[in-house]
Amino acid sequence: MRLHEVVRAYGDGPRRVAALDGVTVDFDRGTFTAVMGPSGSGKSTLLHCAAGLDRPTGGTVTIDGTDLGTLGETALTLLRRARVGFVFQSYNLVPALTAAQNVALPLRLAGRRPDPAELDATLAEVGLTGRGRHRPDELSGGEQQRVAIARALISRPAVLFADEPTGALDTRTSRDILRLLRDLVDRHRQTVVMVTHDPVAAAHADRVVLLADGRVVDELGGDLAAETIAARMTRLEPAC
Amino acid sequence: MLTLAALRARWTGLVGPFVALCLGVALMSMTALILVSAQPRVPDRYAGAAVLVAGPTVEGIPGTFHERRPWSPEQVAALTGRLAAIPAVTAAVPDRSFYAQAVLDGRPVGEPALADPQGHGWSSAALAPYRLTAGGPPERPDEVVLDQALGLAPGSPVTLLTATGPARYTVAGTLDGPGFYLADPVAAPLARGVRLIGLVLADGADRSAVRVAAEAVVGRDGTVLTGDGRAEVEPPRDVRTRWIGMQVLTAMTALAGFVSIFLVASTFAFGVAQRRREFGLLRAVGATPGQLRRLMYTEALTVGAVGAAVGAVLGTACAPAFGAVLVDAGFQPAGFRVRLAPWPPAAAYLVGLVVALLGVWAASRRAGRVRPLEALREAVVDRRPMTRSRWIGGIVSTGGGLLLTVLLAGAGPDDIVNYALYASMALTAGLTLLAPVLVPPLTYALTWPLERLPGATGMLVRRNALTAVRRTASTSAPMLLTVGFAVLIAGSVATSTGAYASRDAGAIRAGSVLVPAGTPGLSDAAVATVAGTTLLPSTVYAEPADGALSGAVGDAGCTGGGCDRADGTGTAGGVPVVAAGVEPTGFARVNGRLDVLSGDFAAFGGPETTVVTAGLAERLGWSAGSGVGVGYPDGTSGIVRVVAVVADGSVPVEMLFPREVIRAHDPSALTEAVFTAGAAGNGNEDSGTGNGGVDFRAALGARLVTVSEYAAERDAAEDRLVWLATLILIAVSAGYTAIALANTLLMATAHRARELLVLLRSGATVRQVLATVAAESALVVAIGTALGLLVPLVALLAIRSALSEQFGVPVDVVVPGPTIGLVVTGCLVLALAASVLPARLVLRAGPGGGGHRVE
Repeated sequence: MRLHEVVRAYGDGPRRVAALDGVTVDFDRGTFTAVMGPSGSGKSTLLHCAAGLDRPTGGTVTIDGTDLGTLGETALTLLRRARVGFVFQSYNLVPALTAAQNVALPLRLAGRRPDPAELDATLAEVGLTGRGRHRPDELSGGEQQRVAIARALISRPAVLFADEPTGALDTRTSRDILRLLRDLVDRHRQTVVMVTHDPVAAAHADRVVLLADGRVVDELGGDLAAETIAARMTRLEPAC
Repeated sequence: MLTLAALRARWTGLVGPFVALCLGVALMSMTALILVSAQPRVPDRYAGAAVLVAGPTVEGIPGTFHERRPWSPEQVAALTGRLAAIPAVTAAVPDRSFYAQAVLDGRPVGEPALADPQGHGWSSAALAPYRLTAGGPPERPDEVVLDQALGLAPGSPVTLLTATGPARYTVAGTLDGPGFYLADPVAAPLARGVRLIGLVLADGADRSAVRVAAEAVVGRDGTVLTGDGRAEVEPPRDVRTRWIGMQVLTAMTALAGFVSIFLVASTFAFGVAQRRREFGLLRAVGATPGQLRRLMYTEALTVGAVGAAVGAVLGTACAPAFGAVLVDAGFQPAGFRVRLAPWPPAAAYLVGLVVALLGVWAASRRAGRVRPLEALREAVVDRRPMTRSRWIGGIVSTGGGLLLTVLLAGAGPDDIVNYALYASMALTAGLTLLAPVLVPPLTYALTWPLERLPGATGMLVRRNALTAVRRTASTSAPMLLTVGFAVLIAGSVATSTGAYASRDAGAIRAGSVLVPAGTPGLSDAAVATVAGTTLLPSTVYAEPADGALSGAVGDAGCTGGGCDRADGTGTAGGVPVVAAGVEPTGFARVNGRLDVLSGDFAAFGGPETTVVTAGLAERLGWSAGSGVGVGYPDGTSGIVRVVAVVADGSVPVEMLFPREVIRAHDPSALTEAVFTAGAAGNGNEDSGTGNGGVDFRAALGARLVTVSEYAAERDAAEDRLVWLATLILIAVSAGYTAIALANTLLMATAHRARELLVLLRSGATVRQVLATVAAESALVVAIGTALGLLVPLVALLAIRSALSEQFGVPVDVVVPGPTIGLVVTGCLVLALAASVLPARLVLRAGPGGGGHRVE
């Protein structure tokens, strides 16, 4: 998974705003990366471009050797369906479908009949054994986010993107969700890229990429402590 | 799974398309069943003759219905003799018919059509399957055999009204069928020309052999009809009734089809606009654009399949009752029955599916273009309300509609309604597509005062409508359609009937008019009761001048040269012309609109003179001074001289003859009206009651009226049909669009639950929120009405110019105020119910309700 000199600009001429301004970053297999930055730094746009939800206006995005820019809308969707999982801050479950049906949705869209055992295993993996028959409005926020993660995992994607996955959750539920993501990286060598503004959440990652004004301004690695990240973030704030 | 789940979750949005398709297919099934059932029937009067020989066919203008041309008396004699000589033919009976009506208790009974006379020679009874139920055949000149249903026993006296006047007869016998049968020598001088000779065959005769032999005898002078083919000789009135009925039904079905497509398209388009988040989400989790398009098609097909199936069953079940209603309303001839067959509803079902697919086509394309990121957006502000295809479609439809309107301004009388309907359909579709462009300025103008009000409601209503342009456009679209069609249909009918009446009333300079009452026309005896000038209508058959009307008349039969048209023996019997006999000087005095274009009207009067309209002269290649061949209604023919050509519409018929000419050649003709010089109803006027207070005019089937009454009543029967058709069309379109209006508002309100709760949480009372919702609905109705009035106004102006061009009189556009008021009020009530009631349900939960449960 690689982004090279990615530019995403909105508008033309004098009103042109570049949300991403030449970002180059790699996400290696089996790593957990947190993307951080102040509001408006382009971190969500980075995630959308990387996941193929949005198309960059410049540069290339490569997943498993495929340049996303060369694909048409349908081909891009097919690739995303097979290789990319995405978790939103606001869960985005289909309210009319049960938890299990929501999880099975990507498989059905791919024309596959979901194997009940596989479905149960995925639900168990996110800690939702026995909750498959409930509809989203019968589940708590944390449970809904677990359904969303299970849905992103069902197609065994190369990369799992998470956009502020704990943004709408309380501290305890957030910690559970982050442990779940960490677990996926450690046990299944799942690549996870997460956008967050919470240093505590970022501390679960292997690496923190810091963005400001659409550019990568710093990278933190090694054993991350929330305090270190927070301190680094504080220094960034005046920059915008 | 997804479709089913979506259908379950979105039933509010699918009720509209379901009901629309269901009703549309029901209507189409009924129409199709009636269409296949509405076939000509063999008239009872000829059902007893296995083989019929009918006179030459004539070539009228499309939309007019004429009987076949009669043979000359010599031809009848010759044909009858040779047909009777065919082996196995026991009798060849020329059908001699004349106007006859019984007078019971001082009033004429029944009202036979002019073209379906009830008086016959006794020999014609052999052609009918009727049997004598009492007494015997008429033998003396004053004897009659009549319908036993009249309740007269043999031997009793009866007064019969014929074209000459009332005469007393004695009942010789009774039949189990309609008609008055006189002895043949008495019937012959009363009868009009013979158009039909019936062949009675011996038992076990070979019908096809007789047919071949008869065809050899008749040659080009007529047509031999057997079996169901005999239905061709049914009275033209029935053909016309059925034709009018089919026009109404076809217009209704076309309208229903159009409105269904419109409704399905608008609800699905609206659904897509509302479901952008959901579609974005599906795209984000891996649905391809094609899958979203198929999802929409599947939804539409599912709704369509169920709705159309229910509609087909409903339509089939209702068809017989609807057929009876059509007979009562005069849109189908008496005796019409609906025959149930499986394929018409099946065809309607398939059309329903196609309509559903057509309706969802644009919406599915839009759904396929939703981008995955839209799942993350709270898109309430419509950033791009107009797409390129919407621009193109809107401009093309509006342009097409305007083009049709221009054509409409120059259209003939038969095309006006069709052009108006198609022009309005195109304009409506165009305006609906362009609505997102038109709505903001209109909303801006309509709601300008609202923002100046102190409360929050006005501001909210204005800002909401301006922000959600597409929603406002979608919800006001059905209103546009309702108002547009209701005003157009009612307005065009009112405008054209007004035009016809003013043409007629303005044309007559007379004090009063003697008109038929309970009879199809006035007998000579009735005419004699007042002094005045008369109008004696009949039909003559014109031979076009060489070169004119190529192809319309059987030119092919004449290509070998030596084709003598004067004796009317072609494959076709010439061109039927609506003619009338008049007294030339009296007619010129009474007719205020007489406009002589060429020739001299004063020269009109001799037995071989005629006056024709410019339209007829042009059609047949005639001009003032030319001698033209004319076939008379008794089958004879002659040459007459065109002394004058007058403007179309300045005389009530196409060709004028001196009254004596028509009377001599059509003994059965009845006078349409007598125009007197004096004023009606003044003290000196003969009150119409003679000795002993008996209303002698009523006994003669006549009544004296004023000129304006005459003009108004002239087309009364026609008007009644037109108004019925109008009401049906308005009901269909308004009913449909009411469904659409309620449906889109229901969807919109249900979808805005969160927004309404936000208002509640911001400190608004339930009453305030409901007032906002109600005001918004009223605004939608207002915008729809404003746009909807544009369409018919354009079309009505075009109709006006078409009519005033035709009649040469200024025509006022009649805007049917009460109809508009009724339609708008009805829609407003419906709109308020469809938005305020669901909003109440949403708000019942209180400020804390709704939304997602968050731990």
